[in-house]
Amino acid sequence: MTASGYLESTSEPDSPDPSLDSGAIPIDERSIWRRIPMKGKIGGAIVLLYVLVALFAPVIATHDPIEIDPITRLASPTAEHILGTDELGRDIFSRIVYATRIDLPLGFLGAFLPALLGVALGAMAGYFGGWVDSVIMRVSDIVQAFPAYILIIALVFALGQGASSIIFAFTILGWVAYARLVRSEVLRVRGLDYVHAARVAGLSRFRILRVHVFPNVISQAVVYLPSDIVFATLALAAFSFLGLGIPPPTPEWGAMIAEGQPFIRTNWWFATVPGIVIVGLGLGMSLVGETAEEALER
Amino acid sequence: MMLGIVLVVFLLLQITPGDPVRQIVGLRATQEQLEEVRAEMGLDDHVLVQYGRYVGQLAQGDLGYSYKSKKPVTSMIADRMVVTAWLLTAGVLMTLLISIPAAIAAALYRGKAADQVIRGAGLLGLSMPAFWVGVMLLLLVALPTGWFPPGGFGETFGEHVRSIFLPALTLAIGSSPFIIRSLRASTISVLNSDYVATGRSIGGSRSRLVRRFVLRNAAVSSVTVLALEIGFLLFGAVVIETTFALPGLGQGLVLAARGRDLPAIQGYTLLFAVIVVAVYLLSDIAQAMLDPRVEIES
Amino acid sequence: MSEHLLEVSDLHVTMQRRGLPITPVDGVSLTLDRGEILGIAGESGSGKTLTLRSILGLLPKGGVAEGDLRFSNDGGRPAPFEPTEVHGHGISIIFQEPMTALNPTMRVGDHIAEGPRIHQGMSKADARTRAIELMRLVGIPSPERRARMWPHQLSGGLRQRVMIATALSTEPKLLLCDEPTTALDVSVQDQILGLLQELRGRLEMAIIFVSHDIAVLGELCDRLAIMYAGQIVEIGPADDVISQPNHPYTAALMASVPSFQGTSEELQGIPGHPPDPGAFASGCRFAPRCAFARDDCTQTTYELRPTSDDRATACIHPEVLAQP
Repeated sequence: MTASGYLESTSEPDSPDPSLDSGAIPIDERSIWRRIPMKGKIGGAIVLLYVLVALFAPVIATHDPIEIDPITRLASPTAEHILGTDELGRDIFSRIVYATRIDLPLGFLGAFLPALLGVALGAMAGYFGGWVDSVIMRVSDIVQAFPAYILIIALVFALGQGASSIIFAFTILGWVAYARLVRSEVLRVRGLDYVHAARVAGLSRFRILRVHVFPNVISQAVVYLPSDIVFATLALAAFSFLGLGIPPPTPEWGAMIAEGQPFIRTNWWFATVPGIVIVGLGLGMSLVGETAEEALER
Repeated sequence: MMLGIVLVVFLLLQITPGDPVRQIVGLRATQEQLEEVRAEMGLDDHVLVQYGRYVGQLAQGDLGYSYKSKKPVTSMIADRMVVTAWLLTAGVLMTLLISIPAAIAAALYRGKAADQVIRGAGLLGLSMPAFWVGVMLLLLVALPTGWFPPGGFGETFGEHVRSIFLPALTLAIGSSPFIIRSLRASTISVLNSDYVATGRSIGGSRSRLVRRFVLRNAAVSSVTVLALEIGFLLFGAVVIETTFALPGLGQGLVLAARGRDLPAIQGYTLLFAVIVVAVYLLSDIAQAMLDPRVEIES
Repeated sequence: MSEHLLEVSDLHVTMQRRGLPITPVDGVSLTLDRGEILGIAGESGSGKTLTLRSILGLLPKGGVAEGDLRFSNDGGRPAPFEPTEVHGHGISIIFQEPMTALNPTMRVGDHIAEGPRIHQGMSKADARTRAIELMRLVGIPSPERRARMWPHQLSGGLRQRVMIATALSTEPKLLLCDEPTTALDVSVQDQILGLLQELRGRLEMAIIFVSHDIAVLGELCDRLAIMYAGQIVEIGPADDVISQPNHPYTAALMASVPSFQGTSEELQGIPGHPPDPGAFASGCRFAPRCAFARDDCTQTTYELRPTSDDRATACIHPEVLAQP
């Protein structure tokens, strides 16, 4: 799918990777902070800002996000409603603030759960090999052949509208890229001497996986998490925009853009501002992701 | 491969909660009427029998009848296919018009200002939801200029062109960052190759070098990436058709999903899967045409 | 015709390695006469290929060449030039691996025709005829048919001939050869060397031939330069340098080549490793590995000192090699 294009190209099973042993070098924390490039810091600050907004939404919001006010419908920005009100007289600013509590955790889960499933399945496929490997890889072939997002629409339809359906659909369709990445990493790490040494020392298979393979593999997978969070956030917003995501009246950025679109002639800010909010989060996450990617390349 | 897709689409019917028959006959129908329609539709039969029948009908090009409009799904799809074909063709063309010059410039001026600007724009493009970009184009381009209709597909060829311009641009803004990213990387590796050194040593202008020695070789690896993006493009089409009220396949799928019209959803999903497979095939052919080393397997 | 064809003085190449500058070529000077074949020998990493590529500005990304390079295309005084000025105008190059040096998406005929089309303004048809002539010149059988083939459809030897035809298409006065026979079978190697020698005679073209293979260089070259750790340590007529080295590194190199030794028992490797181009010590760079090193060897500064009319060495004690 979208992320897999460059996911797959990154790891050749046989290529030597100097970054593998870098984990052993102790680095004190202050030097890590100094080594993070500017864009990483900016990205991190943006993401942190969104987390804080989500945590303190009740403090920041000026109104109840779902309270309907039939008198002040589609109001322009005023001191009372700094971004005006929507068709039902709800305060747009407060809805945007509260939507952070929906979009942020769901975007994160929508990337994290597939990653978790993919890492687990990829590690199993790579480590056990044999029929476990063939079954997992065969299934991943089938999943990958589908236009995943189209299938998510069908799946969400079948499972019923709502956050849990979307996250479930993301998870069973989004794990493939991670599984392939981790599998090839495991195959590579497995061939390295120290894993053989550990085996001779009589460690159990699981322990080898946990102590020797996992830490090496996980750093690779983590690098792709931020960009997948961006994808998941955008996709969640898109499904809500289509009326197939988070059901009303819960505030959600994508759904708010859909609500605002009919009024762009008069209340242009209605559809514009939630989009800017999404772009901000996406940029912040992308900056974090790029920084992580570059750090791994070095 | 296709059979697997058919199976998954069929299974949608099985896991969907609720009684499709009840949906057709309405809430006021009696139990007898309900049973009668159920038997008529063959929903009493064993799952495998139903599956066999479904595949048999598919083989004859029969996708069943819409629960909503009672029309054959095939005819609904045929009308909408033209619109989506327009959108995808124009969208891919615009993507290439944006991506190829941008990627080549970024690769030639790697690390310089042009590269930074293009990468920054790519990051921004990745972070923007397509439907919001569409709304913004309506707000900032369509409304002030009046050149483009705010929605619909029009009747004449000229109207089609004007209707499709902004949606295709929206699609291109969303997909270009991926293509630029991959084309930039492949162009850089081509620029570092021995044969480009040969091309340089022969002399001539830089644009001739790019045309004769770089472009085709860089395209070879990017064709596959473009093909892998088709799933993303199709989802983009779904979202954009909804944003611009284009009566295409994507809008049809969303309307079917909102209306819980199962045969229509199955039909659309199947068709999208067929498009993906067809595009993969096309990309293989394109690759063989671009790269003399690749032979088409008969 | 007494003027040199090419003059290189004090060439330095700096590159970045993990963010730190290194100087893999450190003060190379040499001259080349018209129609002369100069060999440059050295281990991998000695800077011989980078020296060659600097002349045409074809360094890898991040590489910067500094120094005085002069070239004379018309027989006059050599004048400073930009690499792009001699691309297709006087200097051509062929590479080690003909498969990667030929554009895989261009038919070989078009490849050879590219130069004439750009520089002689030939029409497509004329350039095609010229390409077939050139293919015949470099000994490619049935050139009409092969001109329509893709590089991957040819054997390694034919590919290298195509590469040579491409290089010759712009009628160069100087052909740079970057180990063009290393990737080929021994029998094909000999054919290519024979071809180069023949072409030199027929076209009055000078050649700089870079290789780690002393045997090949001895067979082909008029003069020979030996490079070690980014510097030329010895230069002179090829036969003299091989039979009577004036630098302990040259001597050690000869001792490690089977064809210059009677039996394989006498074959010797050189103990130790070449120095790291990021941290050159002062003094002679070969001193740590040199069997004849003395105290003052670590004090000396690099300089090629003439030992006769046509020979020079960087060793300050070349007399040690004269002793039996």
